[in-house]
Amino acid sequence: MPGYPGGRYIVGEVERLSDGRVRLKVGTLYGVLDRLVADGLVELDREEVAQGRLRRYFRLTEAGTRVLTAEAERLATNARLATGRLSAVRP
Amino acid sequence: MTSELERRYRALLRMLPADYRAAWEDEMVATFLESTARDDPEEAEFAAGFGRPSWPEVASVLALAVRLRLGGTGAGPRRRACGDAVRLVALMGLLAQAVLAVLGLGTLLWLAGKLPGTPPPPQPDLQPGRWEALGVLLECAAVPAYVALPVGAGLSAVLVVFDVLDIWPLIDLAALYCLALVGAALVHLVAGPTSRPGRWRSLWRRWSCSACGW
Repeated sequence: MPGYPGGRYIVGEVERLSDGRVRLKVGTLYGVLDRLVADGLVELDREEVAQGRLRRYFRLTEAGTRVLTAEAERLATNARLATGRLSAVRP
Repeated sequence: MTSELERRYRALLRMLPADYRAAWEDEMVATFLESTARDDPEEAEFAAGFGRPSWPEVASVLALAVRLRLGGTGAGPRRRACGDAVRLVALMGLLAQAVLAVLGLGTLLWLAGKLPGTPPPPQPDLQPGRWEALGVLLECAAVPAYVALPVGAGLSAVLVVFDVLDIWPLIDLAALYCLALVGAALVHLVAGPTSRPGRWRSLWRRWSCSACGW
């Protein structure tokens, strides 16, 4: 899996994917990132210095990919169930 | 050149433990400055000179600092011990509250002449008032809160609701227990079950055994 760009990219992607509803704060982002790294779900891909500033690039580990796949399937199942129920009550 | 905005953000990050800052500070600063960058040169210049981290940014760093200092994921043994101490104080406060609540309920039933196996009170005019009775019943929320503590999920809501109820003016020692409960809720929300699900449970078991022995 290709390494994702660092924090700025993640903040921007979260905002874009949520249509601006979620604006990730930097403290929140790194609080999550260091937990994911500690749990072995995400790992450091590489570090670069650009314009005098440190940039770290992260990527999902195999374990992270498994957990994410399972969670996405769980949510998709819930959504399918809810959609099925809704179509049953709709006229 | 370091801008005033960067200096202020670095000052904010001093809330975080030194070892965490050594690992993450530069990157957090870079991400913060990039995510708050303005396209308009005048706005960018103004932000660099006079900008401050927003309150949500401050809150996110504060929450991270609490989690790291109270033994969340990645914390060293010293901070884990500190976090356990805070959790233990919260547990003791909550258990004391639960015991007092049960005693209060027993007294209430006795005064009302409805406690099985005991004679009614010698002075029937000692009947508790409606508000007093309600206060005791509300205080009984400590019992499910204490029992639910090791279960983890959904507990924060119980603690917070209980904490609100505990402001009840008729309850003695409310301030002390409020402090313990606010601590419990805070630790639970920030550093608790999501990162280390077993921590509350093992402390709860140990403390409950000690309390029973005592």
